Amino acid sequence: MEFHFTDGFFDDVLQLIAGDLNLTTDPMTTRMQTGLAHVETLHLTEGKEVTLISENRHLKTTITVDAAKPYVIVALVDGAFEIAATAQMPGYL
Amino acid sequence: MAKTPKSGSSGASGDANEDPVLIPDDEHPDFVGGTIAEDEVVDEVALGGEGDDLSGFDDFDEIDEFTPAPGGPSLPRIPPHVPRIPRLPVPRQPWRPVPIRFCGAVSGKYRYRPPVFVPRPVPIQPGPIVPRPIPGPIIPINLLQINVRVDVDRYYPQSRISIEVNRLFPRASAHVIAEVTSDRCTGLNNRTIDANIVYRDGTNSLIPGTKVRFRAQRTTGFGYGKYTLTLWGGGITARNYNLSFESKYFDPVEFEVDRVANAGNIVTAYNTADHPRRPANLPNEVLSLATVFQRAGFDAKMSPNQTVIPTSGAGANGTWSDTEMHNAMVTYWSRFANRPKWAMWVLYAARHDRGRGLGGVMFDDIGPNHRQGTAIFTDSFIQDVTPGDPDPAGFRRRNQFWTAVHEMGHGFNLAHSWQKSLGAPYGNPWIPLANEPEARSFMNYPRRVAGGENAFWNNFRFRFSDDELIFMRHAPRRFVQMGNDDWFENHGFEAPSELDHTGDWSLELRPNRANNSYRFLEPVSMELKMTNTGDQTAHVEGDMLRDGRHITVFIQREGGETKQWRPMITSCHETHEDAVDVGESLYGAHVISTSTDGWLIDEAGFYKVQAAVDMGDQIVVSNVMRLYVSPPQAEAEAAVAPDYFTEDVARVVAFNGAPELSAAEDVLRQVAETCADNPAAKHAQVALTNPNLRNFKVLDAGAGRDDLKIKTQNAKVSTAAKAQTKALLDDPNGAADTMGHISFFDQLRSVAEAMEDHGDDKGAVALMKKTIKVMKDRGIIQRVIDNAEARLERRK
Ligand SMILES: [Zn+2]
Repeated sequence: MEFHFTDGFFDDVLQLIAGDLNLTTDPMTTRMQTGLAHVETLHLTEGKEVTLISENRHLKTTITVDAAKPYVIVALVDGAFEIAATAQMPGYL
Repeated sequence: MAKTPKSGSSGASGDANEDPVLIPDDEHPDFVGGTIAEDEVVDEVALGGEGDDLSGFDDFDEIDEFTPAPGGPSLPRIPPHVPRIPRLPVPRQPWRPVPIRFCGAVSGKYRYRPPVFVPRPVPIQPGPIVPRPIPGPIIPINLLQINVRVDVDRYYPQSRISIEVNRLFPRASAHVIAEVTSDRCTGLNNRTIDANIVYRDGTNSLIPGTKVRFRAQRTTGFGYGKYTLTLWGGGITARNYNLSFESKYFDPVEFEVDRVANAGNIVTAYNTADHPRRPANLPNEVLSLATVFQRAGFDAKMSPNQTVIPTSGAGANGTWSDTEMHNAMVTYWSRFANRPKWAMWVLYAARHDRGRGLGGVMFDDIGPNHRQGTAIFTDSFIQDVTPGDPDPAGFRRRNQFWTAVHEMGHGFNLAHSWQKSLGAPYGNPWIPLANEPEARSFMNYPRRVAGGENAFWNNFRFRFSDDELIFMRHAPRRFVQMGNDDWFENHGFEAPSELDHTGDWSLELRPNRANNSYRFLEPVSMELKMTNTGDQTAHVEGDMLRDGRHITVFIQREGGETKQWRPMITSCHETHEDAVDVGESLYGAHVISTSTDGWLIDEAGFYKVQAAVDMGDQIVVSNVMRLYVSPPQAEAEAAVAPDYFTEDVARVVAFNGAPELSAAEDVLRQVAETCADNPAAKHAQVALTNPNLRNFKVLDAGAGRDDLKIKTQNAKVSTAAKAQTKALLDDPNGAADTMGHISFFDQLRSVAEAMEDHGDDKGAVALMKKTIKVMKDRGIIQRVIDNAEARLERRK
């Protein structure tokens, strides 16, 4: 599973929780010329739930792993997470 | 119809691309070749609003018949669609006879330069130059530059006129953008375009008014011969400027494409018919990278330098980090310089450290000058063909070409289509902008539009969006120019930095002494050092810094007004060009305290000084130097001041002597005697005795104008040389400090030559030896010492 953090991040620290796994990212900022802030790769099985938390923005959401769409694109739009999963590796330019 | 070869690519051998086959402009459906008259002829008088004075509008005193017509006498057909401005529909028949009220294309860049009055040179005569005033007015450099960008036809017209004004001193700049409200053709190549100012940046007073009128008129012959700009509206008196046409493009830009050895085939040209997924009416032609930017309004050229960079440049891992690419740019880009420049480096490499997911990046957001370098990664996701695509090879070629233009667009400070409105903390849009998530632009991601990639390509016409074109063509140039504003700023804004180091020269203004403090009465000398900071040998007038014609100095007493220094002496000599290699410098020195109309530095206090040199095609501006003049330190200094700070004394000091100004000479004698410890005394002694080094010619008016005679005063060389030697060498450091090295050593040389001419070879040799010793003691550049020693050697 690849979590692609794309638009809207500025010095954001996110927490990803999946069962025993509890990961805190480094601060991330969207690089405007690629529209990408950070990619986090996790090894997770089909159906597993991943909780994504932004403490300072008071945001929390849960994503269910779909092995057919292993690329999860997470953006911050209008103060909320916007999430999309895709089968094809997203590229950046 | 144009042929349609395959998309061009450069293989590992580095072969040049196939010549792109382009549809000629006047056959291209996206090209607007001009406009046709409306039936109504507009009443001129009706154009001025209440309180607006347009009376001077037709009062142009200059007609420049040599002004080239933009694009020549164009007779293109009129395309069916012209954005925003309604025009008469014209059938698409290129062979159609010229309509009598047809107006050819005018889009492009125009310039206004104030008229330059070149002074009648003072003829060289044997001996010192007889002082006389230079007939005025003298404007040795262009103090005001106006660039006008007219954007109403040719490719993707945006109905804008933007105006950029740079005033040299006091330094200020302004920039406006006006939206076209009407565009009228009132006769064969007689076109009037009106626009309202909608955007302002910089010093508003430089571009007054609320409205802009651009007029292109036929004079003799068929094409346009006269272009004028009028600023009016808002109750101001209309200001008119005669313009000259410069280019059908808005700015020049050069791209250098370099390739890493393992990047494989690179695509730098694309056949728009290569891939079947495209708009049905997309013209079938081969676009190069340059073509895309030419149609965006730039005079885009490809650098002939194409380097193949060793893969080892990426370090041990074989993939590229931003820092490694930046280093490669510094090393391999033939035009690299850390300064703003209309040039960009485009690197094709295999892969970035970030992996296959990064198809390209404008990597240059590190260091002081952003946006100069972009990269395209050939071994990345841009090779991944969408499953089921009908033409995988064409898909890859299109992706690589599109990616290159996309990254280059970032180099022009273009944000992604969905980021246009983004401001702090990332940066700022240059004007409030709306996002364009559905834009069919090089700056959008195809996968992000509604309907996905296929929907994007079905409507993509290989162009930038209108908002992007307005930005690229009309935004203040520092926002757009590579290496200028930081990345994503204005898409941003920072303090005006116009005229800064964009040329190929740097100019240093310096006192050539340990401190910038001067005594009261002491004439202030400045040295100018101009260095070739370009990337090639330049050929310029070798004497241009010694000859005052090219130089202007501005002096501002703090809290007082700014005065312009004009040289009293401009020499007339055969123009000879010297080669100045990269890094080499030209030198000159001038007394700046005195000007044609007297003293510019005549009070105690702080002063700011800045110089500018007119190089013809560019003006080179120096640093600003601050200096201090101390108050009188003795009663005698204060006592002589009223007689000393006069025009005549200024003249004697500037010309190093003027015996016919005897009252002024008396004042200088008083300074030499009563203010002996003041450096002004040394200037006085030199000026008083200098004329006696040679036979000196003066005009004797006798009884009147009809009785003019040239009288010769005979030289008194031995007395004069003795006095000069005393003034210059009793305290050589003091004399060199106050006169500056160039004038000081020039004067010593002049004394030695006079002694030699007078038969005193021994005295001349002795003086030359002393001079060389002072040169060595003061550590001046070896080349000058070598020359002096060679002169001495010839006399031994
Ligand atoms: Zn991009």
